[in-house]
Amino acid sequence: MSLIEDSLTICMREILIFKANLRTNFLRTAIFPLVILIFFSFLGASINNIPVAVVNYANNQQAQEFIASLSSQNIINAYTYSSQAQALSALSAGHVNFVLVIMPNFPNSGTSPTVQVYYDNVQYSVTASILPVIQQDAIRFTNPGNFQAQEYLPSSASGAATPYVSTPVTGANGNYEDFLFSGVIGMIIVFGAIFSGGIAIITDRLGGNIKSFLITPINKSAILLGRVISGAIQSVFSVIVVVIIGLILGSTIAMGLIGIFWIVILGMLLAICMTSIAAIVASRMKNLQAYTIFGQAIGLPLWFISGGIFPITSFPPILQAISVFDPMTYALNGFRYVVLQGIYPAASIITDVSVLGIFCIVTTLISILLFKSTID
Amino acid sequence: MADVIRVENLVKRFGDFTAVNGINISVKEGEIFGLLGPNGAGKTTTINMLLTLLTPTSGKIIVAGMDLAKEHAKAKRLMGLMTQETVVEADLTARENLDIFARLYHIPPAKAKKKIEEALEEADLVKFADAKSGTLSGGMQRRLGLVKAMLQEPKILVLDEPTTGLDVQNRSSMWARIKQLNSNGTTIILTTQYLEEADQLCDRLAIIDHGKVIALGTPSEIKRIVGKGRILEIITGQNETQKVAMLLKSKFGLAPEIKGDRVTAVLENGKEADFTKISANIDKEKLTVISIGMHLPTLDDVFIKLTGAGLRDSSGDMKGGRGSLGVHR
Repeated sequence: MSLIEDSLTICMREILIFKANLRTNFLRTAIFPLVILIFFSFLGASINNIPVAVVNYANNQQAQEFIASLSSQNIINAYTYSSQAQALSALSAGHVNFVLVIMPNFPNSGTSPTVQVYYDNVQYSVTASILPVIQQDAIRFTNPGNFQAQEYLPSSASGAATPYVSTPVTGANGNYEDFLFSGVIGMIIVFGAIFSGGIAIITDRLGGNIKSFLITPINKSAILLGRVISGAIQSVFSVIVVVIIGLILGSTIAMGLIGIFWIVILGMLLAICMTSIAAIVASRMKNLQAYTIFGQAIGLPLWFISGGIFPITSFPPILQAISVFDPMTYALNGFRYVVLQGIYPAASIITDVSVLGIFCIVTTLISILLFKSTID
Repeated sequence: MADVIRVENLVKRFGDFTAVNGINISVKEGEIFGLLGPNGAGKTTTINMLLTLLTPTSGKIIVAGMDLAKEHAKAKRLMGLMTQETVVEADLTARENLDIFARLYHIPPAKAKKKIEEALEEADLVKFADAKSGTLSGGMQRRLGLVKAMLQEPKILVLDEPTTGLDVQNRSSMWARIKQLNSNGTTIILTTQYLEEADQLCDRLAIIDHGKVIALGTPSEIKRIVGKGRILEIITGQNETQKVAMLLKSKFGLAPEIKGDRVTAVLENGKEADFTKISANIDKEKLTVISIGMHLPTLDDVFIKLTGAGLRDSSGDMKGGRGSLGVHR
C-alpha cells in the first residue's frame, strides 16, 4: 500500500515542479511541432499542377464532367492518353504522378470498379495529398466502393503492369500534413519522456534530491514509479499542446473528440514505456551531455522506424521488421487511423493497446529491477 | 550518557580509492559531535554510510542499539539530514517542500498540516511560505532546510556542512538554531570545514584526514595537542624562513616549525614577553617579515600540527591556505 502512496507523492512532486516551470515546458513542447509542421509540410507541401494521365474508356457525359471538375482546380493537370498501357509507361517514366482510368461502366455502380487510380510512391506527400482530391471528385459521380487506388509497381522482368491492390483510400482529409501531424504527436511524447524525464533523474541525483528521498522510509521503487506516472500525466499535456498547434496550422482529426481520447490513451502508454527506458539509462549516467547524446541517438531512430515521417509500407523489408519492436509504431498506427481515416477498427485497437500495454509492463518491471537509486 | 551512535572499524573503498579507512567513533546521546576535515577527507562518505545511503565495505555502525546492516529501515526513521548540496527543492514553494517531505515520512495529514505551519513559523518563513524556494536568500533556504530535516522529529540530526557558503550573520544565526535544537534534546552530528564552527558548537569532535581519525576529543582537549601557551606565527618574505627559524631557535630556545613561508612556534605560558624581543631581534637582523603575531591555539593550529597543512589546502599544495581560514584572532 505504501508503495502506491509513495509513488503518488513522488508523482505529485514531479507535477508540482512541472507546474512551476510551465512556461518552459510549454515552449519545449510547442517548438518541435511548430517547426516541423510549418517547415516540413506547411511550406513544403504546396502542391500544384500535378500531372495526371487520364484514360477515358467510358467517354460519356459524366466522364467528361468528372475530368472537367478535376481540372477546374489548379491542383491537377490532366493529360489524356488513349490506352492504359501508354499511360502506365508514362507513369513508369516519371512523366506523370498518377494514372486515372475511367472504366467503360462509369459511373454506374456495380461490383466492378468504375475508377482506378495508379500511383508510384516516390513522393509520398504528393500521393497522400492528391489522392483524396481525386477521390472526392470521383465519388460525386460514382459509388465510393467502386473507386480504387493502387500503387503501381512495374515488373521489370516482363514489362507488364501488375497492379498492386491496396485498400481503398478513405478518410476526411488524408494529406501529408495530417500524416506528419500524427507522427509529430508521437515524437513529442517520446522526446518529452526521454528529455524531461531522464534529465530530471540526472539533475536530481547530481543535486542531491535523490539523497533526500533515500533517507526517508519510502520504498525505493516509488522513486521510479512516481516518475513514470508523472511522465504519463505530462504526456497528456504534450498531446493537448500538439493537437492545438496542429489544428491551428490546418490539420484535422478525422475522428474528432473521440479521436483525441484515443490519442491520449495511446500517448500515455507510450510515455510510460519511454519514461521507464529513459529512467534505466539516466539512473546510470552522471554526465548530462552524454545523456543528451543518448537521447537523440535513441529518440530519432525510434521515431523514423515507427513511420513518423514516412509510411512503414515504403520502408525496406529489414526496417519494416525492426519497426515491430518499436513501441512507437503501435501508437502511431492508432494515431493514423484516428487522424487520417476517422475510424479506429476494433481489431487495431486491441492490437495497439495490448502490445503497448505489454511494452509498458515489461519496460516498467525491467526499470524497477535496473533502476539504480544509489548515490555513488 | 549512552552511546547513540557507535561506528566500529568503518571502511569504504571506491575501486582503488579508500575514502574511509577504519574509523572508530561513538556519539553520546544529546551531544553535538563534529566531524572536521578538509574536502575529500571522508566526512561525507562516513555520513552517507551512517544514513544507509552507502553500504560500508567493512565495519559496523550501530544506531540506538540497532545494527544498520540489519535494521536500517527502523534506524533510518530516527535520523534527519540537511546536506550541503540540496537544502530545498528550488522549484517548489517553502510549503510544498515541507508538504512533500511530510508525505514521504508518512506523517498523518492532520498532524502534517499542523507541523508544517509550526515549521514555517520556526524558520521565520510564514510570509514567504508560497514563494518559490529558489528565490529565497541563502540563509532562508538553510532555515527551511533545517526545519525540513526536523519535520519527522528525528532523535539524531545529521548536518552535512550546514553553514558552507553562508555569510557571517547567517552563520551565527544558524549556530544559534543548532544549539537550540540540541538543548531540546536532539543529538547532532555535523561535518564542517570550519574550525571555528567546530570550536563554537561541538561538545566533542573528531578530526578526519585521508579517511582516518587523527584526533578525537573535546575542543579544548584537542587544542592542547598543540601545547600550552600561545602560538607565535611569523610570515616571512624572500625565502628567509630558515634564517627566522634559526634566530628563534638559537636566541630564544624555541622549537620552530616551517610550513611554506610561515614559521610557527609555541611560546609557553609566562614567556609571552619574549614576543616583543623577537620582534626587535628580527628588525635588528634586517630580516624581511610580512607579518608577526601571537594568538591562543585554535583548531587551525591543531590541524596544521597534525596534518602538516592548513585545513583547506591539505590535499593540495602547502601554500596559500592561510587567508581563507578565517580563524585568525
